[in-house]
Amino acid sequence: MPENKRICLLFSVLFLFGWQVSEMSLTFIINEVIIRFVRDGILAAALILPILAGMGLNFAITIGAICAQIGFLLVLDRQIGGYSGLLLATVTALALAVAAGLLIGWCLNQLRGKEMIATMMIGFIGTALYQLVFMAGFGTVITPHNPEMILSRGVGIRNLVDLAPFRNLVESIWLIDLGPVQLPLFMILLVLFTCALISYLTRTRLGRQMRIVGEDPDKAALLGISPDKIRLLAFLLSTVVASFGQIIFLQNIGMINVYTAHLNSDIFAAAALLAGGATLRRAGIHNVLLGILLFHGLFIVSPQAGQKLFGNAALGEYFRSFVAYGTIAAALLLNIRHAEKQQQPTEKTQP
Amino acid sequence: MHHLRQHIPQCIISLFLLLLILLAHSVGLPVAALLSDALVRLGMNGVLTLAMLPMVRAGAGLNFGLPFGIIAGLLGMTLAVNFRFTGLYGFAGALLLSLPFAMLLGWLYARLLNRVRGREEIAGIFAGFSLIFVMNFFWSVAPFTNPAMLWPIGGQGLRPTVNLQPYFGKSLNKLLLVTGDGWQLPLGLLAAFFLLCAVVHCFFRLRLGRAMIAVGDNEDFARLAGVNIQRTRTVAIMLSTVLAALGICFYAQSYGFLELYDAPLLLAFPAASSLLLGGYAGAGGSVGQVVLGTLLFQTLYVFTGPLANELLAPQVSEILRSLITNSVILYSLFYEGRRRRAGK
Amino acid sequence: MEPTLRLRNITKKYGRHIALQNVDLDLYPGEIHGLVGENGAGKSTLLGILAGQPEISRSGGFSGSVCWQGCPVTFSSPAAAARLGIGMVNQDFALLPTLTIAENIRAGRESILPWSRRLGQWLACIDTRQDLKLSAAVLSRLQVRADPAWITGRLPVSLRQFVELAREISKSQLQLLILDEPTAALTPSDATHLLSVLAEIAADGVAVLLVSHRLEEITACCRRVTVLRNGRTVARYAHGELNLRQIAASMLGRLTVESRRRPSRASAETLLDVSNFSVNMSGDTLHNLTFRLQRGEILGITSLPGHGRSAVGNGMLGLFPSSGELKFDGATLTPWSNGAPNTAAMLAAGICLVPDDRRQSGLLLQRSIEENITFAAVQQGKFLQPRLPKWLGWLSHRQTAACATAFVRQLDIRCRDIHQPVRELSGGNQQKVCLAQALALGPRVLFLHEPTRGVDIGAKEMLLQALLNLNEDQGITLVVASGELAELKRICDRILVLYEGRISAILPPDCPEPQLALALAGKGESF
Repeated sequence: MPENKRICLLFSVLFLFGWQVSEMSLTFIINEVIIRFVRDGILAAALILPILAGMGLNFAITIGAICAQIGFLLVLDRQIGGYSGLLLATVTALALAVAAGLLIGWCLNQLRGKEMIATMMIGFIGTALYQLVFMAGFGTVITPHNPEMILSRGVGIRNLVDLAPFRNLVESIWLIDLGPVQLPLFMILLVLFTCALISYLTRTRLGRQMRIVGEDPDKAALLGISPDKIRLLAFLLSTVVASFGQIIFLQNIGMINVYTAHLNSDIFAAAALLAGGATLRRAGIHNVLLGILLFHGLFIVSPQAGQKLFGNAALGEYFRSFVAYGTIAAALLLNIRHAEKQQQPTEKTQP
Repeated sequence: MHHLRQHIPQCIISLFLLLLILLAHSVGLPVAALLSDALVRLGMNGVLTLAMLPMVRAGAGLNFGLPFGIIAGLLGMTLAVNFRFTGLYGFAGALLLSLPFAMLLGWLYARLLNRVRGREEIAGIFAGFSLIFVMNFFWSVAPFTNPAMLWPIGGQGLRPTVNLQPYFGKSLNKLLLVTGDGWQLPLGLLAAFFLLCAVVHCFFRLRLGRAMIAVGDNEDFARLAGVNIQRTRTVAIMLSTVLAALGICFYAQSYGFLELYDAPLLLAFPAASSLLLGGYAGAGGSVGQVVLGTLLFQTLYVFTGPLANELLAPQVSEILRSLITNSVILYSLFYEGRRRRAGK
Repeated sequence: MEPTLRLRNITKKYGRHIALQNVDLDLYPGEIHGLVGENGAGKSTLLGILAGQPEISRSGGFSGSVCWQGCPVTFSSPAAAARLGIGMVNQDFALLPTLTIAENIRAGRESILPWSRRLGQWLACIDTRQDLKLSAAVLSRLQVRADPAWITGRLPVSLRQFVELAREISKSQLQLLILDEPTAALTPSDATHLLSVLAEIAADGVAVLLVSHRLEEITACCRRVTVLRNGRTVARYAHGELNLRQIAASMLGRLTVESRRRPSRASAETLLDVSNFSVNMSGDTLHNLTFRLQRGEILGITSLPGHGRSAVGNGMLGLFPSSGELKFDGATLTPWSNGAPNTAAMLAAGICLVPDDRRQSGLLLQRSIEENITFAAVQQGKFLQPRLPKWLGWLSHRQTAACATAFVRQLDIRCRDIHQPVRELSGGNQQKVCLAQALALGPRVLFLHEPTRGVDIGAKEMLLQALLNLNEDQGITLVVASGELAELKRICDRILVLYEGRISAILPPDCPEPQLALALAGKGESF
């Protein structure tokens, strides 16, 4: 069995075991998984294009997430509510994401081969700049318009900002109540539609070019494809999709943890995608769908399982952090080894 | 031209530092005390930066898997606290106790990294992160008996922060401490740090050290000279891990507290950043760069804190530090990538 | 008839190094044109120019005129060359291993579903079924039995070569097909098949440029042949005059030097007894080599490139997996055992190697002359401080400096001092440092690979003289693997000629030129 399938299987076993131990009800888990699918599905899907283009996991989707937060914060600052506010926030976020994506793509084109570390660093730097602006910039350089968001000392935005003006604007559309299970059909369709769009992209000539560049940029250049342009485009799209994903995420939660909401979006999205059987060279929408189910299923049950098994819920928390990082570490180890093996010419004939 | 560009970060940081010092002076901060503080922090963090060196020289990249060594050091120190070791001998005991763990974890780490040649850095980051969370598990169930380390309620699981003052905290800092008007100079700490630096420096003049450098520079060359590449890399990675274990002991005793759980998660980045600030750029790497880089980085650290609090909002200093740390790493990746492209 | 491609006075320089000088080439529709030459003769550069490789323009472009079907053109990029109608089948498989055969054949020219056409070039959906159908058609034209949906990376090497060919000939505008060593990885029957396919393609009016080291193929299927040496066109043969021996001789240079160095001092005593020695080195394999190396002799090893001349030394030092039996002075040695190299043991026994690619594997360019010369010796436990325990490995700088100084003087290495970084030295002096490094180990048998490659004429003489001195004064047995026949004839006692990884002949240095040429082409008799 290929190693990526084995990861899937491992997650399934862990999830089932955790579920049994935690004694949680199936309906609760289904409800939670649906919520997490809506919240995290697009973020995980945002990782697909850079993987196809051969740059591994894009930890800089935090930048996309930051763009979404800035969009919301600016709209809230101007106190524009309702659909127009939501639309404005989305447009602002996507515009910022385009700019950020171009910058990230240009940056990464300068340092081929170490993209993953670089995206991590870019994520950290973006976070620091963002925190700096909203913690020290608001009230000093930038004049705030909405005093409710500002800390009592007059400088900096509160840690927690309520998204009340947008609450239940889109969740309530086509909300189907199936007794114990709530089915926000519109949101689910929205996520599925975004996934389908990305899936379509991979089947176009652009998607094929990304795959070729990801396989070997030098050979791509021989075919007349400009690797730099394709890689730039992959990152641009990834950042924009991530930003849209974070809009949905925040909108669904209904409030913004201004300084921390985006922090682990990259790790959880990456871990979910890998849990769904993606590798660092190949990923598809089916990996997103399966991964969200397995990874977040495990996520939901593990604190309770830790409580039941060891009498300590914190252990479950540690366990899930370990699972998130461990999945990525394992994928890195397996994939790099696998890539090395592939470089050697194989004499095996096609069956 | 080439050399100038290589030193852009140092130039910028030095200028920035000068500006900071002037600024600090003008707003009435005690500059001498801050500078002496930077020296204390050199001794405190220097060994962690030094832990980057063997791996860098053996061509295994920056040691972003520093948590492997750090965990070993933490294990040594928790054992030492559990046995209620005190004073300088207690500190020495903690160092000794962490050695076997460091060797073991270093060996494991080397096995991991030898599988991912060329991509050691990103693999190290995530392997290190994972280990931290595994150890979180351990800290909360480990059968330690010294109640000073355990949660007051329930008596099970270690506290996130253990006070080292009753044991060996600051023991090295207080050794040969020279104090003056508002400043202090921990000669003992600095001497110990420089002693370690000298040991590492000499190591690279030994036969094994030479082999390590050759493996890092040109594997084909080393292979032809009969060097066992795999073994040499393993030794280099183990050495880095041992140094990291010693480094966290230096760090914790100087800080006075033992920080467990998630605390060491991001410690590798400032250490890597320090080495890069010292002028390491993809090849070579020397003890001099370690000392210079750590000194620059820590001076920056001590000056940004009070200044940011004075001029901007509180909490901003942490953000500024993270900004500097990661920008330096990104710049070095950038520089390396450009050079590779130009050379292609 | 108008030539498809006409090259005149093509000159290409990399810095000071001249890769091509005044090369002329005409390619006519329907002809198969052979291009042969040693490694480094300029073939790759010429092909690079024709394929529009970015490497060429990045390193300063080239001079001379290129006419494509009568019109002057420039090849600015691979894509531009492809648009003109030039197809390239590469040595290193420009295929993408995780894509299917069809995806590879149609790469960059995918068919699109009609309804998605208005979304534009990039966002149009690929018509996978159409691509499979088109690819299957091309494959059947090549008489290759393969399913276009197979993953390319899992195909055997020979099939991959045909997929690449299929990709090129499926291009409708193809006018010129360039093949770089297409048969190197093929079995004889596959190679024959490929050549017959080439003949068919040429019959359709396509010009074919065939680069190969297998001279019998060249003579069998080419209409004309151009020979390059040191960046110049040295010979051109038309169909009637194709002659294996002549081509081989003109590839390797004129054998003008006939003088022997000295009466042989080699004793009849066997120093190294090699039997059934096979080396698995990609691109240069060795099969069941059996020979005896005599104490004190200078043995030359030569072959056309890729026929095994560098595999002997590399295998002997454990740089590549090998099997077979080695008896060195009565003791059995195994350079490769249990999947791991035993290089240190070989060095300890006194078998050393000076590699051919000194910048890649022979030197630590950033380090000093002293460190380079003494590194291997130090690793073998020499030059350590005698008063300290040996396991510590504390270097004695007095000893290393003395050793380095002695070699700098002995080999006349031109440098500032022994602390100068090796990268600042000239090619010849770098080569001497490589030699000194091996000598510092105190070798009994020294393998040298291409000792004079990339070294200017003056330094070459000094190097050869140094080798002779080593052999005569210090009694070191030398094995020189080289493509420079003239030099081998000057210094060697015997010349071992390999063909396809097997001994073709063992010749005396004063053997006549035709005999050597025959041996190189695999038609020698052991002497």
